[in-house]
Amino acid sequence: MEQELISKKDLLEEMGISYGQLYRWKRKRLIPEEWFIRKSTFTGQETFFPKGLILGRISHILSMKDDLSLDELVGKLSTLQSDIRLRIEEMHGRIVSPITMDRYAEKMLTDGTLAFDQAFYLFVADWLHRVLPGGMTEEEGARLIKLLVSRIPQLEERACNLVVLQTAGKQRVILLLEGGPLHTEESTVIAASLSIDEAAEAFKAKLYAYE
Amino acid sequence: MDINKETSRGDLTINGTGRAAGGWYRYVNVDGIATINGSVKCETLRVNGISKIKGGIEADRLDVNGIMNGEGDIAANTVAIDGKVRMRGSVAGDAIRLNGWLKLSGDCEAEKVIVHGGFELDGLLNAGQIEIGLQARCRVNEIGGTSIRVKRTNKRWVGPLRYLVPMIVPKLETQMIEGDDVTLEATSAGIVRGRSVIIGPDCTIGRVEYKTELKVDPSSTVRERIQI
Repeated sequence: MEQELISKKDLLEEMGISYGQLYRWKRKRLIPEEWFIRKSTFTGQETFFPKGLILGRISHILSMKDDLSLDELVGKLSTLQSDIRLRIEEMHGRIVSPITMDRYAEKMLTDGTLAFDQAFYLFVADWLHRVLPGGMTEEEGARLIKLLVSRIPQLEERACNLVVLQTAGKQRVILLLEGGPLHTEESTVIAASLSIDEAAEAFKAKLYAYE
Repeated sequence: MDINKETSRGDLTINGTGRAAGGWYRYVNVDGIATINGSVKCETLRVNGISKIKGGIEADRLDVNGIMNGEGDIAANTVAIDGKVRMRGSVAGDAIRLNGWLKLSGDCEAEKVIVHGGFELDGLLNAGQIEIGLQARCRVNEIGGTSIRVKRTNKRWVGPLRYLVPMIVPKLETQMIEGDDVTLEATSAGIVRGRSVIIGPDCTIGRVEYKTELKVDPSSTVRERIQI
Protein backbone atom coordinates (compact mmCIF):
# COMPACT_ATOMS: atom_id res chain seq x y z
CA MET A 1 0.00 0.00 0.00
CA GLU A 2 1.26 3.43 -0.83
CA GLN A 3 1.43 6.19 1.66
CA GLU A 4 -0.81 9.17 1.20
CA LEU A 5 0.90 12.30 -0.08
CA ILE A 6 0.06 15.95 0.31
CA SER A 7 1.23 18.65 -2.07
CA LYS A 8 3.16 21.61 -0.74
CA LYS A 9 0.38 24.00 -1.67
CA ASP A 10 -2.26 21.97 0.16
CA LEU A 11 0.03 21.59 3.13
CA LEU A 12 0.52 25.35 3.49
CA GLU A 13 -3.23 25.83 3.13
CA GLU A 14 -4.12 23.18 5.65
CA MET A 15 -1.63 24.17 8.34
CA GLY A 16 -1.86 27.91 7.70
CA ILE A 17 1.88 28.36 7.31
CA SER A 18 3.93 30.24 4.73
CA TYR A 19 6.68 29.27 2.33
CA GLY A 20 9.11 31.21 4.49
CA GLN A 21 8.34 29.10 7.54
CA LEU A 22 8.54 25.86 5.62
CA TYR A 23 11.95 26.75 4.17
CA ARG A 24 13.21 27.90 7.57
CA TRP A 25 12.28 24.57 9.10
CA LYS A 26 13.92 22.79 6.25
CA ARG A 27 17.11 24.78 6.85
CA LYS A 28 17.01 23.88 10.51
CA ARG A 29 16.60 20.22 9.56
CA LEU A 30 13.29 20.07 11.37
CA ILE A 31 11.85 18.55 8.23
CA PRO A 32 14.08 15.80 6.84
CA GLU A 33 15.25 15.97 3.26
CA GLU A 34 13.68 12.58 2.45
CA TRP A 35 10.21 13.93 3.10
CA PHE A 36 10.49 16.25 0.11
CA ILE A 37 9.22 14.09 -2.69
CA ARG A 38 9.44 15.53 -6.17
CA LYS A 39 6.94 14.50 -8.75
CA SER A 40 6.06 15.78 -12.16
CA THR A 41 2.49 16.88 -12.51
CA PHE A 42 0.67 18.55 -15.38
CA THR A 43 1.69 21.92 -13.95
CA GLY A 44 5.35 20.98 -13.86
CA GLN A 45 7.46 19.78 -10.95
CA GLU A 46 5.70 19.76 -7.62
CA THR A 47 6.87 18.84 -4.16
CA PHE A 48 4.89 16.39 -2.09
CA PHE A 49 5.18 15.18 1.47
CA PRO A 50 4.12 12.02 3.27
CA LYS A 51 0.87 13.31 4.68
CA GLY A 52 0.65 11.68 8.08
CA LEU A 53 4.26 12.45 8.91
CA ILE A 54 4.41 16.05 7.81
CA LEU A 55 1.11 17.05 9.40
CA GLY A 56 2.24 15.50 12.68
CA ARG A 57 5.63 17.15 12.51
CA ILE A 58 4.32 20.60 11.65
CA SER A 59 1.64 20.64 14.31
CA HIS A 60 4.33 19.55 16.73
CA ILE A 61 6.60 22.40 15.64
CA LEU A 62 3.76 24.89 15.80
CA SER A 63 2.75 23.79 19.27
CA MET A 64 6.29 23.95 20.62
CA LYS A 65 7.71 26.97 18.90
CA ASP A 66 6.20 29.39 21.41
CA ASP A 67 8.10 27.79 24.27
CA LEU A 68 11.34 26.83 22.57
CA SER A 69 13.61 28.47 20.04
CA LEU A 70 14.02 26.66 16.75
CA ASP A 71 17.48 25.52 17.68
CA GLU A 72 16.22 23.96 20.88
CA LEU A 73 13.53 22.26 18.86
CA VAL A 74 16.11 20.73 16.57
CA GLY A 75 17.59 18.87 19.50
CA LYS A 76 14.20 17.58 20.47
CA LEU A 77 13.39 16.11 17.09
CA SER A 78 16.29 13.88 16.32
CA THR A 79 16.20 10.98 13.91
CA LEU A 80 14.48 9.01 16.59
CA GLN A 81 11.57 11.30 15.80
CA SER A 82 10.35 11.90 19.30
CA ASP A 83 7.23 13.64 18.06
CA ILE A 84 5.90 10.49 16.47
CA ARG A 85 3.90 8.31 18.77
CA LEU A 86 2.35 5.12 17.60
CA ARG A 87 -0.89 3.72 18.78
CA ILE A 88 -0.70 0.15 19.92
CA GLU A 89 -3.37 -0.97 17.45
CA GLU A 90 -1.27 0.37 14.57
CA MET A 91 1.65 -1.76 15.61
CA HIS A 92 -0.06 -4.95 16.61
CA GLY A 93 0.39 -7.65 13.99
CA ARG A 94 1.10 -5.23 11.17
CA ILE A 95 4.59 -4.13 12.17
CA VAL A 96 5.43 -6.27 15.13
CA SER A 97 4.08 -9.76 15.60
CA PRO A 98 1.52 -10.29 18.37
CA ILE A 99 3.83 -12.48 20.41
CA THR A 100 6.50 -9.80 20.72
CA MET A 101 3.91 -7.14 21.41
CA ASP A 102 2.38 -9.21 24.20
CA ARG A 103 5.73 -9.91 25.76
CA TYR A 104 7.34 -6.49 25.88
CA ALA A 105 5.01 -3.70 24.80
CA GLU A 106 3.06 -3.59 28.05
CA LYS A 107 5.87 -1.98 30.06
CA MET A 108 6.65 0.70 27.50
CA LEU A 109 3.16 2.02 27.01
CA THR A 110 2.06 5.48 28.00
CA ASP A 111 -1.65 6.07 27.38
CA GLY A 112 -1.87 3.39 24.73
CA THR A 113 0.99 4.75 22.60
CA LEU A 114 4.62 3.93 22.03
CA ALA A 115 7.43 6.37 21.24
CA PHE A 116 9.04 5.96 17.83
CA ASP A 117 12.30 4.59 19.24
CA GLN A 118 10.60 2.12 21.53
CA ALA A 119 8.53 0.84 18.66
CA PHE A 120 11.72 0.45 16.67
CA TYR A 121 13.35 -1.63 19.39
CA LEU A 122 10.31 -3.87 19.43
CA PHE A 123 10.60 -4.20 15.66
CA VAL A 124 14.25 -5.28 15.98
CA ALA A 125 13.41 -7.78 18.70
CA ASP A 126 10.60 -9.13 16.59
CA TRP A 127 12.85 -9.47 13.56
CA LEU A 128 15.44 -11.40 15.55
CA HIS A 129 12.76 -13.58 17.00
CA ARG A 130 11.69 -14.51 13.50
CA VAL A 131 15.12 -15.13 11.96
CA LEU A 132 16.72 -17.01 14.81
CA PRO A 133 16.08 -20.70 14.63
CA GLY A 134 13.94 -21.53 17.60
CA GLY A 135 13.19 -17.87 18.29
CA MET A 136 14.19 -16.02 21.39
CA THR A 137 13.15 -16.73 24.89
CA GLU A 138 11.31 -14.01 26.71
CA GLU A 139 14.30 -13.33 28.90
CA GLU A 140 16.69 -12.97 25.94
CA GLY A 141 14.31 -10.57 24.28
CA ALA A 142 14.06 -8.49 27.41
CA ARG A 143 17.87 -8.33 27.63
CA LEU A 144 18.09 -7.32 23.98
CA ILE A 145 15.59 -4.53 24.42
CA LYS A 146 17.43 -3.33 27.50
CA LEU A 147 20.64 -3.22 25.48
CA LEU A 148 19.02 -1.30 22.63
CA VAL A 149 17.34 1.17 24.97
CA SER A 150 20.57 1.94 26.78
CA ARG A 151 22.99 1.96 23.82
CA ILE A 152 21.27 3.11 20.63
CA PRO A 153 20.60 6.70 21.78
CA GLN A 154 24.29 7.10 22.62
CA LEU A 155 25.44 6.05 19.16
CA GLU A 156 24.34 9.36 17.72
CA GLU A 157 23.57 7.89 14.33
CA ARG A 158 26.89 6.19 13.74
CA ALA A 159 26.45 3.06 11.70
CA CYS A 160 26.41 -0.12 13.68
CA ASN A 161 25.44 -3.72 13.43
CA LEU A 162 23.59 -5.97 15.75
CA VAL A 163 25.19 -9.38 15.84
CA VAL A 164 23.98 -12.49 17.56
CA LEU A 165 26.65 -14.96 18.52
CA GLN A 166 25.74 -18.44 19.45
CA THR A 167 27.75 -20.97 21.38
CA ALA A 168 26.42 -24.45 21.90
CA GLY A 169 22.80 -23.46 22.06
CA LYS A 170 23.22 -20.39 24.27
CA GLN A 171 22.45 -17.14 22.54
CA ARG A 172 24.17 -13.87 23.19
CA VAL A 173 23.50 -10.52 21.66
CA ILE A 174 26.10 -7.86 21.13
CA LEU A 175 25.85 -4.46 19.56
CA LEU A 176 28.75 -3.58 17.35
CA LEU A 177 29.82 -0.08 16.52
CA GLU A 178 31.02 0.51 12.98
CA GLY A 179 32.03 -3.11 12.89
CA GLY A 180 34.54 -4.38 10.42
CA PRO A 181 34.51 -8.09 9.80
CA LEU A 182 33.89 -10.08 12.92
CA HIS A 183 35.85 -13.28 13.37
CA THR A 184 34.75 -15.91 15.79
CA GLU A 185 36.45 -18.90 17.20
CA GLU A 186 35.19 -22.17 15.82
CA SER A 187 32.74 -23.15 18.54
CA THR A 188 30.95 -19.82 18.15
CA VAL A 189 28.75 -19.06 15.18
CA ILE A 190 27.20 -15.82 14.07
CA ALA A 191 23.55 -16.70 14.26
CA ALA A 192 22.26 -13.41 12.89
CA SER A 193 23.55 -10.02 11.90
CA LEU A 194 21.54 -6.87 11.29
CA SER A 195 22.59 -3.38 10.36
CA ILE A 196 20.73 -0.91 12.54
CA ASP A 197 20.48 1.61 9.71
CA GLU A 198 18.92 -0.94 7.40
CA ALA A 199 16.59 -2.04 10.12
CA ALA A 200 15.54 1.57 10.68
CA GLU A 201 14.84 1.94 6.97
CA ALA A 202 12.82 -1.25 6.89
CA PHE A 203 10.93 -0.14 9.96
CA LYS A 204 10.09 3.25 8.48
CA ALA A 205 9.07 1.69 5.20
CA LYS A 206 6.68 -0.59 7.02
CA LEU A 207 5.45 2.14 9.28
CA TYR A 208 4.64 4.66 6.60
CA ALA A 209 3.14 2.23 4.12
CA TYR A 210 -0.42 3.04 4.88
CA GLU A 211 -3.48 4.23 3.01
CA MET B 1 29.20 26.34 15.46
CA ASP B 2 30.58 23.57 17.52
CA ILE B 3 34.19 24.58 17.73
CA ASN B 4 36.34 23.67 20.61
CA LYS B 5 37.92 26.88 21.83
CA GLU B 6 41.00 25.15 23.14
CA THR B 7 43.90 27.53 22.80
CA SER B 8 46.36 24.71 22.25
CA ARG B 9 45.26 24.29 18.65
CA GLY B 10 47.88 25.74 16.41
CA ASP B 11 47.53 28.42 13.81
CA LEU B 12 48.31 27.87 10.16
CA THR B 13 49.92 30.73 8.32
CA ILE B 14 51.05 30.55 4.74
CA ASN B 15 52.82 33.55 3.21
CA GLY B 16 53.96 33.11 -0.35
CA THR B 17 53.45 29.65 -1.64
CA GLY B 18 52.89 26.66 0.50
CA ARG B 19 51.20 23.44 1.20
CA ALA B 20 49.69 22.21 4.39
CA ALA B 21 47.73 19.33 5.74
CA GLY B 22 44.11 19.68 6.57
CA GLY B 23 42.96 19.34 10.11
CA TRP B 24 41.93 21.26 13.13
CA TYR B 25 43.45 24.71 13.57
CA ARG B 26 42.63 27.89 15.43
CA TYR B 27 43.32 30.49 12.75
CA VAL B 28 44.15 29.74 9.16
CA ASN B 29 45.68 32.60 7.23
CA VAL B 30 46.73 32.42 3.62
CA ASP B 31 48.52 35.34 1.97
CA GLY B 32 49.61 34.05 -1.38
CA ILE B 33 49.06 30.69 -2.91
CA ALA B 34 48.25 27.67 -0.83
CA THR B 35 47.13 24.12 -1.21
CA ILE B 36 45.56 22.44 1.75
CA ASN B 37 45.38 18.69 1.47
CA GLY B 38 42.25 17.82 3.35
CA SER B 39 39.34 19.23 5.24
CA VAL B 40 39.88 22.18 7.51
CA LYS B 41 38.21 22.90 10.80
CA CYS B 42 39.05 26.20 12.44
CA GLU B 43 37.74 29.35 14.04
CA THR B 44 38.69 31.72 11.25
CA LEU B 45 39.83 30.94 7.76
CA ARG B 46 41.18 33.90 5.80
CA VAL B 47 42.36 33.65 2.25
CA ASN B 48 44.10 36.56 0.56
CA GLY B 49 45.21 35.20 -2.74
CA ILE B 50 44.62 31.81 -4.15
CA SER B 51 43.93 28.65 -2.28
CA LYS B 52 42.89 25.18 -3.10
CA ILE B 53 41.38 23.03 -0.45
CA LYS B 54 41.08 19.33 -1.05
CA GLY B 55 38.20 18.92 1.33
CA GLY B 56 35.51 20.81 3.13
CA ILE B 57 35.61 23.73 5.54
CA GLU B 58 34.11 24.01 8.97
CA ALA B 59 34.75 27.39 10.53
CA ASP B 60 33.21 30.11 12.54
CA ARG B 61 34.22 32.70 10.03
CA LEU B 62 35.32 32.32 6.43
CA ASP B 63 36.83 35.27 4.62
CA VAL B 64 37.93 34.98 1.03
CA ASN B 65 39.65 37.81 -0.81
CA GLY B 66 40.72 36.21 -4.03
CA ILE B 67 40.14 32.78 -5.37
CA MET B 68 39.31 29.61 -3.57
CA ASN B 69 38.57 26.18 -4.94
CA GLY B 70 37.40 23.38 -2.73
CA GLU B 71 36.14 19.87 -2.84
CA GLY B 72 33.62 19.69 -0.06
CA ASP B 73 30.97 21.46 1.94
CA ILE B 74 31.36 24.75 3.73
CA ALA B 75 29.79 25.12 7.15
CA ALA B 76 30.53 28.51 8.64
CA ASN B 77 28.63 31.05 10.66
CA THR B 78 29.76 34.02 8.66
CA VAL B 79 30.91 33.73 5.09
CA ALA B 80 32.32 36.74 3.26
CA ILE B 81 33.50 36.25 -0.27
CA ASP B 82 35.19 39.00 -2.25
CA GLY B 83 36.34 37.25 -5.34
CA LYS B 84 35.68 33.87 -6.74
CA VAL B 85 34.85 30.66 -4.96
CA ARG B 86 34.16 27.29 -6.44
CA MET B 87 33.19 24.37 -4.25
CA ARG B 88 32.14 20.86 -5.05
CA GLY B 89 29.56 20.80 -2.30
CA SER B 90 27.11 22.91 -0.36
CA VAL B 91 27.37 26.03 1.75
CA ALA B 92 25.52 26.34 5.03
CA GLY B 93 25.85 29.31 7.31
CA ASP B 94 24.16 32.07 9.15
CA ALA B 95 25.11 35.09 7.08
CA ILE B 96 26.60 34.83 3.63
CA ARG B 97 27.86 37.89 1.81
CA LEU B 98 29.09 37.45 -1.73
CA ASN B 99 30.81 40.10 -3.79
CA GLY B 100 31.93 38.28 -6.86
CA TRP B 101 31.34 34.84 -8.15
CA LEU B 102 30.29 31.63 -6.49
CA LYS B 103 29.88 28.23 -8.03
CA LEU B 104 28.51 25.30 -6.07
CA SER B 105 27.42 21.83 -6.95
CA GLY B 106 25.07 21.72 -3.97
CA ASP B 107 22.74 23.91 -1.98
CA CYS B 108 23.28 27.25 -0.33
CA GLU B 109 21.54 27.74 2.99
CA ALA B 110 21.68 30.63 5.44
CA GLU B 111 19.53 33.00 7.39
CA LYS B 112 20.73 35.89 5.29
CA VAL B 113 22.28 35.85 1.83
CA ILE B 114 23.45 39.07 0.21
CA VAL B 115 24.89 38.88 -3.26
CA HIS B 116 26.54 41.45 -5.49
CA GLY B 117 27.73 39.55 -8.47
CA GLY B 118 26.85 36.27 -9.98
CA PHE B 119 26.59 32.62 -9.11
CA GLU B 120 25.89 29.19 -10.42
CA LEU B 121 24.28 26.83 -7.94
CA ASP B 122 23.14 23.38 -8.90
CA GLY B 123 20.85 23.00 -5.92
CA LEU B 124 18.55 25.11 -3.81
CA LEU B 125 19.19 28.61 -2.52
CA ASN B 126 17.36 28.66 0.80
CA ALA B 127 17.53 31.65 3.13
CA GLY B 128 15.34 33.80 5.31
CA GLN B 129 16.43 36.96 3.62
CA ILE B 130 17.80 36.84 0.11
CA GLU B 131 19.06 39.97 -1.61
CA ILE B 132 20.58 39.56 -5.01
CA GLY B 133 22.20 42.48 -6.79
CA LEU B 134 22.62 41.12 -10.27
CA GLN B 135 25.93 41.98 -11.87
CA ALA B 136 26.42 38.86 -13.91
CA ARG B 137 24.48 35.78 -14.76
CA CYS B 138 22.95 34.10 -11.72
CA ARG B 139 21.78 30.59 -12.19
CA VAL B 140 20.20 28.40 -9.55
CA ASN B 141 17.85 25.47 -9.66
CA GLU B 142 15.41 26.71 -7.03
CA ILE B 143 15.06 29.56 -4.57
CA GLY B 144 13.08 29.41 -1.34
CA GLY B 145 12.84 31.78 1.58
CA THR B 146 10.94 34.40 3.48
CA SER B 147 11.94 37.60 1.72
CA ILE B 148 13.45 37.39 -1.75
CA ARG B 149 14.63 40.51 -3.55
CA VAL B 150 16.36 40.51 -6.89
CA LYS B 151 17.62 43.79 -8.33
CA ARG B 152 19.73 44.70 -11.28
CA THR B 153 22.32 46.98 -9.77
CA ASN B 154 24.00 48.35 -12.86
CA LYS B 155 22.86 48.77 -16.36
CA ARG B 156 26.26 48.40 -17.88
CA TRP B 157 26.33 48.43 -21.67
CA VAL B 158 27.14 44.98 -22.96
CA GLY B 159 25.98 45.35 -26.56
CA PRO B 160 26.82 42.52 -28.91
CA LEU B 161 29.14 41.07 -26.30
CA ARG B 162 26.07 39.50 -24.71
CA TYR B 163 26.00 36.94 -27.48
CA LEU B 164 29.65 36.09 -27.11
CA VAL B 165 29.87 36.08 -23.34
CA PRO B 166 26.39 35.40 -21.98
CA MET B 167 27.84 35.20 -18.51
CA ILE B 168 28.23 38.94 -18.21
CA VAL B 169 24.57 39.69 -18.79
CA PRO B 170 23.05 40.46 -15.40
CA LYS B 171 20.14 38.08 -15.25
CA LEU B 172 18.69 35.52 -12.86
CA GLU B 173 17.69 32.17 -14.27
CA THR B 174 15.85 29.66 -12.13
CA GLN B 175 13.10 27.09 -12.33
CA MET B 176 11.20 27.99 -9.23
CA ILE B 177 11.01 30.75 -6.66
CA GLU B 178 8.94 30.30 -3.52
CA GLY B 179 8.76 32.91 -0.79
CA ASP B 180 6.57 35.18 1.26
CA ASP B 181 7.58 38.51 -0.23
CA VAL B 182 9.10 38.20 -3.66
CA THR B 183 10.42 41.16 -5.65
CA LEU B 184 12.10 40.41 -8.94
CA GLU B 185 13.93 42.16 -11.76
CA ALA B 186 15.57 40.71 -14.85
CA THR B 187 14.55 37.21 -13.93
CA SER B 188 13.44 34.29 -15.97
CA ALA B 189 11.70 31.64 -13.93
CA GLY B 190 9.33 28.79 -14.53
CA ILE B 191 7.15 29.24 -11.46
CA VAL B 192 7.02 32.01 -8.85
CA ARG B 193 4.93 31.37 -5.76
CA GLY B 194 4.47 33.85 -2.97
CA ARG B 195 2.19 35.81 -0.72
CA SER B 196 3.01 39.10 -2.36
CA VAL B 197 4.79 39.06 -5.68
CA ILE B 198 6.19 42.10 -7.44
CA ILE B 199 7.55 41.48 -10.89
CA GLY B 200 9.80 44.33 -11.99
CA PRO B 201 11.19 45.07 -15.44
CA ASP B 202 12.60 42.51 -17.89
CA CYS B 203 11.22 39.34 -16.39
CA THR B 204 9.91 36.25 -18.13
CA ILE B 205 7.84 34.10 -15.82
CA GLY B 206 5.89 31.01 -16.76
CA ARG B 207 3.40 31.09 -13.93
CA VAL B 208 2.84 33.22 -10.86
CA GLU B 209 0.81 31.94 -7.92
CA TYR B 210 0.16 34.68 -5.38
CA LYS B 211 -2.00 35.23 -2.37
CA THR B 212 -2.42 38.90 -1.55
CA GLU B 213 -0.95 41.00 -4.31
CA LEU B 214 0.70 40.83 -7.70
CA LYS B 215 2.24 43.69 -9.61
CA VAL B 216 3.74 43.17 -13.02
CA ASP B 217 5.89 45.70 -14.87
CA PRO B 218 4.68 46.27 -18.45
CA SER B 219 8.07 45.25 -19.83
CA SER B 220 7.75 41.78 -18.30
CA THR B 221 5.80 38.79 -19.50
CA VAL B 222 3.89 36.49 -17.20
CA ARG B 223 2.11 33.71 -18.98
CA GLU B 224 -0.25 32.61 -16.23
CA ARG B 225 -1.44 34.47 -13.13
CA ILE B 226 -3.26 32.56 -10.47
CA GLN B 227 -4.53 33.96 -7.19
CA ILE B 228 -4.79 31.36 -4.46
